[in-house]
Amino acid sequence: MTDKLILTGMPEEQNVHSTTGYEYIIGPKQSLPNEANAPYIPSKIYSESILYKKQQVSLMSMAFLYQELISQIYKNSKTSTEFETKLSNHGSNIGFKLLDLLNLRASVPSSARSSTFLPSNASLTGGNTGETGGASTNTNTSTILTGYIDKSYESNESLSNMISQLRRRDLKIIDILQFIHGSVWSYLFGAPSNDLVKSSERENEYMIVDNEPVLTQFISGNFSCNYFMCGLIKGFLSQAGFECTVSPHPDVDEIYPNRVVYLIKFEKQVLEREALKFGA
Amino acid sequence: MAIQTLLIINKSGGLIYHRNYAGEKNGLNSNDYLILASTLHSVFAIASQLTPQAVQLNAKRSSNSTDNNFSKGGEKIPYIPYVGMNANDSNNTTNKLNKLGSFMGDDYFKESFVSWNKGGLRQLSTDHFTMFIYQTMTGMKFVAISSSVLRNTADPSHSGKSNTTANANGIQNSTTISYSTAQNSSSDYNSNSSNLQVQIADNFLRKIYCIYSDYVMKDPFYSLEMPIKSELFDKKVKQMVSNLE
Amino acid sequence: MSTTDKTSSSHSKSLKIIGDEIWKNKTEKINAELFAMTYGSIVSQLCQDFQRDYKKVNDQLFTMGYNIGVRLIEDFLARTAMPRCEDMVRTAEVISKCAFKIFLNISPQVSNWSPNKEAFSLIFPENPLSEFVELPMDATKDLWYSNILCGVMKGALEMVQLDCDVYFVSDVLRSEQQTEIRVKLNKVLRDEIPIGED
Repeated sequence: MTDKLILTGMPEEQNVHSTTGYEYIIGPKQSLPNEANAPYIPSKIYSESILYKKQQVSLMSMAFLYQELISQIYKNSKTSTEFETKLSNHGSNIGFKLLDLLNLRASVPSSARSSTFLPSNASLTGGNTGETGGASTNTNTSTILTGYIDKSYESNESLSNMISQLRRRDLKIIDILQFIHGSVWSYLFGAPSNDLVKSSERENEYMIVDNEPVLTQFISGNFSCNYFMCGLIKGFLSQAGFECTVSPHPDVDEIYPNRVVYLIKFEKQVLEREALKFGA
Repeated sequence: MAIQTLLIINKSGGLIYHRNYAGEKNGLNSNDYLILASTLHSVFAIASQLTPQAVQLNAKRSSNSTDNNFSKGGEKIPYIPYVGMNANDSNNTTNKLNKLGSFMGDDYFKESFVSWNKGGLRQLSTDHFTMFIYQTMTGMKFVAISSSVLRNTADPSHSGKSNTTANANGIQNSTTISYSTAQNSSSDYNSNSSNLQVQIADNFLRKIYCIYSDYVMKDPFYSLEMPIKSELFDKKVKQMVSNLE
Repeated sequence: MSTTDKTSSSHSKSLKIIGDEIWKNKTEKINAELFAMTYGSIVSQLCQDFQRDYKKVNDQLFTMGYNIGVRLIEDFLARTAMPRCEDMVRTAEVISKCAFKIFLNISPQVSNWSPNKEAFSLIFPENPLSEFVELPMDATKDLWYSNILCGVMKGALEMVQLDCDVYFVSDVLRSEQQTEIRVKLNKVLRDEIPIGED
């Protein structure tokens, strides 16, 4: 039973046969009793790897979707603030998810990144010792990993065993901003953002610079369209406990007609917390 | 081939974009351009009615003989390398400024293609200018008016310019190719050169169509069929026109 | 008849090569997960806006798709310079092997032809829009999660003078066997084919 709960990837065959009762693994039946003839096909998402498969779609598809999203929001907004908020909320939805997703992925030992979370040969289990976290947790993990593999569940994945190995959450402003500037940007657009700057005038302000914003590169002269990325940054930071507001500011020149600066203003309590914890 | 004027006409004959690149004023005001656009639209339609049946049959027969995907009638336009591209930029592959929007690589396309315009007006020649028309499958027309006059393409100053701008990397600007290809077939110089001009124009206008598909179609503030106001589109087109000179 | 079949199969083979080549070498790409999450955010916002009236959500997704399709076709034509298709058989091949390949890096399978060869189905073994999606219980009956695709095809085909009905038949998200979209030609809008093309 415990094994079953840990194993998110249940072999599909087990669930296909139709039953009348409540299946605790697959949840309530999704059809009325008189429609129950068709076999229930469980969603594949639970059996698939959470690792980044580096799948791609064309930039055009994304640009057209983004264009239509903006055009709909624009049509349905009475004020520019409403437009900005709505667009920003879409970005936030994604930012929330990325915090967990990218931190989790950053925790996976690179040797295991090819297809599954867990290495399929035992030699890899010892390889991580001393690299991440404290020594005591690592020994512990190795035992679990080895035990896990002994049960020959190589083809399945389990996150529960990885918990003690997870990347430590970022607690300092500069650390989490570095993560956004580097990891988040690379994940989204294939390269870090062009710059991460601390305001020299105000203690709580930071800036992320994007010379050629991917999503708005085809849009002329309307910087509000960058509020999606503002929302994404804000969503990511807020979810991690760094309350802030984010706004886009043009910084254009002949070479970069769309360059945008994302201005991040942290709330007072974020700075106070940091001062208390790490000293001013 | 210097482009004096560029027009874009929507499928109903409405002018949605016009730019004049010649320094001096040519005396046309905005209203004149609107009339020019709708007149062209009509003349184009009439011309297609006038196209002799024999020419159309000929096009169809030749298409059957080739076992090629692009063979459904219509003239095959050869790809002419780097028409309108900045030759200096294309040397430097790491140069990010050379990015072509959603088009990967150093040119918008690199293969020959078939003109959708089979029976309509494609080229209008006068003593003072030549006009080229590229019509899309959706019915839009991209029109370029060039100052080059077909009779004068053998102008020696023309070839002189070509030689100096050819660069070491094998990337040549369009005028060079125009000249050298024409030289190879000395038998029918004028008709060949005229044909090549049309091909350069078709390559150029298809690229304007590519830029349009990025900076106009992907702009949420553009309404279909309406005048184009995108500054980015303006900029990219102007760049390409100046590269052609 | 046999010669027609032969040519059409050799055509479809080269269409695959064209589609693959343009996808690989002529198309800038972006993370498919960002695309899927953005679409997911749009659908979930619509479900909220329409208070879980999923038929309205379907309609709105279709409309958004239509708006995209009438623009996207210009990108497709500028990028491929594809000649006009002589029949729906070829149209189906171009949609599957070129359009879906270039825009979404998938090639849905063409099948279930009607006897008059004017209606066909596209079967999607994979769908980048619904990569991480599980529908809430109340949505599995009425919501066509990826309905935007139908709108895109409707709009794009209309711009090349093909009046078609495009609709979902089934979707694995609704626990159905396969994801299938039906495309049915109503008529060719001959009067609207640009003068000069024929």
